[in-house]
Amino acid sequence: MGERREKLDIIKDILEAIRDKGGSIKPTHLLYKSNLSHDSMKKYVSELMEKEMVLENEDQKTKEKKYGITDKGLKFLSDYKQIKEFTDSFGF
Amino acid sequence: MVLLNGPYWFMSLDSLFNLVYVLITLLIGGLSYKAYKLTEERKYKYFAVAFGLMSIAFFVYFTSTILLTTHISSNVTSILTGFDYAFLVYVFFTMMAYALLFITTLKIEDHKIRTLILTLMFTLTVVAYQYYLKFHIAMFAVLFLLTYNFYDNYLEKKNFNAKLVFISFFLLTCAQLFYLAEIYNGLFYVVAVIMQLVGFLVLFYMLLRILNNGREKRKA
Repeated sequence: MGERREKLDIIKDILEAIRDKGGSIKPTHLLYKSNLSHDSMKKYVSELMEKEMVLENEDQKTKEKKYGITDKGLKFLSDYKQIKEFTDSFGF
Repeated sequence: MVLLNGPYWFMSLDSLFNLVYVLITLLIGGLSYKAYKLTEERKYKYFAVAFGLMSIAFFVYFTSTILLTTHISSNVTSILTGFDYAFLVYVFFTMMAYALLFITTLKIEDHKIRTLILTLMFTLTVVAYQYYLKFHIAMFAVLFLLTYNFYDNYLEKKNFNAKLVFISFFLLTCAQLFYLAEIYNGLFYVVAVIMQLVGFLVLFYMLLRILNNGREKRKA
């Protein structure tokens, strides 16, 4: 059984999934990539939208809903390693 | 007078070391606050507050010892030495900081146990006679458990920074024993302070490694 992910790691996985898909991802792909339940993913994404790290937009051709990453989200990813090292050092 | 300990020649140095501790604890508090802003998890907020309280304690210690050793004002000196007010303020902030650190790192979730720990730490040290001894005994107990916890964390994570945290807290724990031994010989106080200084410098080195890694990552 895998180790339980910390909230910090889940946020990183979501943002990384969006970034790695060129900055925009379909909800179904994000669900698969983030390895979360549908409800958990919705909860995390809405929290990240509130924090302005993720935004919701619509594909102009297909009219499909997509999630995009903001500059604040990209900043989180660059800060992540530092914070992760810090929290690991103290055993959080 | 409890605030001024050890040989007279060492007092100014002791005061200055407290400024170093202020800087280090503020840096740790700042990084923890950054983690809190990113995740909004309360454990990071409590950790930041704990190190913030430590900074206040060290700053109080620094300013009071400077005021006492430089004899700037006789009124200030008599107030500070009247009932060891400065030492009690230092003890209060330190104990609250370590209680919070203890609750956060040992992941104590039960509010009743949290309240009990805070109350015990407060009553055992501030509201008691012989508070110098009781303070260092309580600090030894808390630091010992924290060190044990950080050792477990090092065994689990097997990373160098976790090892540095463990070494740092091990030194801080040993320092408490030398503070207690000061009643036999003033030189033990010097050993305790140096041990504490090295402990905090190890933490500082660990912080520099984290900050440098972050910077390198951004450059890459």
